[in-house]
Amino acid sequence: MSRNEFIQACLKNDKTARHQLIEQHYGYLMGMCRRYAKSNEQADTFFSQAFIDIFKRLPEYEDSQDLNVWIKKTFLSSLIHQLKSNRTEYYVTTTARVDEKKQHSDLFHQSEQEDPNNLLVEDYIKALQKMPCSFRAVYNLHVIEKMDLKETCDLLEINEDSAKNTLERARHEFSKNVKLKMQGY
Amino acid sequence: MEDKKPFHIDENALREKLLNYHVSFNPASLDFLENEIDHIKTSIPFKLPEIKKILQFSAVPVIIIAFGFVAYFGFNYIKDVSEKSAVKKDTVITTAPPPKPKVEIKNEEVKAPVVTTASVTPEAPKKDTIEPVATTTTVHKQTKETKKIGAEQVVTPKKEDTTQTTNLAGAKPDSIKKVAVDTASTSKSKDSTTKKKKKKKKNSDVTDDIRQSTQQPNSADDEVVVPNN
Repeated sequence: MSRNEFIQACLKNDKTARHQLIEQHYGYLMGMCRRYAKSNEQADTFFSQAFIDIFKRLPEYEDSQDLNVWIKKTFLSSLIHQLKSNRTEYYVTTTARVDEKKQHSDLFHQSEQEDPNNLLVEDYIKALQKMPCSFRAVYNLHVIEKMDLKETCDLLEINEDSAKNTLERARHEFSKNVKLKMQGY
Repeated sequence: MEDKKPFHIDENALREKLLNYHVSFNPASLDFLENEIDHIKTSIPFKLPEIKKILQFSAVPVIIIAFGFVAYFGFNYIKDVSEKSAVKKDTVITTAPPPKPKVEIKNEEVKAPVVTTASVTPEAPKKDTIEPVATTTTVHKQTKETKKIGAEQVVTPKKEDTTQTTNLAGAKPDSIKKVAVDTASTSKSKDSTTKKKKKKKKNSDVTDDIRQSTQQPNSADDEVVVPNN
């Protein structure tokens, strides 16, 4: 079955085609959901809603586009929309100030035995999940997805200064969480 | 002392790890998703063509055709207007003399009612003359039979009255005069007759009284009863 036929079958509400589409993209899309969510349970709900959005927008797909790129882009926009729709979680946590650097100065100095780059991926994901929602969003978009700061600002609908500030604090928060993870917390 | 170097996370390595992170497929977790997706009915939306294409293939020819129509019909219209205006000017010249107002003279019609009124009127003033009054004075002295004669006398002076009525030029107060004069004369006659009747009655009453007095016994014949007191 060609890609075009596969899309047409999905548009005609073919269950097998839809199931196949989900199965093909489940792995990395669920990994993405876990990075943006605060827990694995929330990641499941994000995934379901994002995939529903994909099926709703599937008629907008054009043959000239890469299907994987289009699905990833649509999935990401749906995730950001879901994050922002949860306003109490997204905006209230941004008020948390990162002023613990001096108090926990040991956290930011590593010993020879400690290497933050040798952790498991699940540990990094847990470190990300501990971060506030807005920090997590900015860090994921700019650092992991490697988006420009302007692109990130446009997607999150924030100005560049606040994005920079949030990114700095997010980096600090992630390092702290990784260090704590390394120490077994 | 333990050597401590700044805590640094290699973001590129982290990115690679996280982007290559895949979660193993769990079919059980898709039960909810499949139920939800069954309700979604995808339909191909109707896409409007781009504005450029619309302009190229439809708007430009339509505009050209519209301009052509406007130019053609506008020219014809101007032509018609100019022709009409020229025709109108000619007609104005031809119809320039204003129509003369028609004056109708109805002399004959005016004369007719005058004649009729004149012919009708003369009967009324017959009795208005002074002469009938003189006749009425005679009536006062005469009896009832003289009234008829008076009436006949009133009828006689017709020829004299016509001259008087012609001077009045068709006025109709004659009827009033007629009634007034007649009533006066008749009332006078009636008064005279009533007076005569009253006189007769008085005379008859006197005679009756005399008769009764003669028929009734005298007061001297009546017995006079004197009270004993």
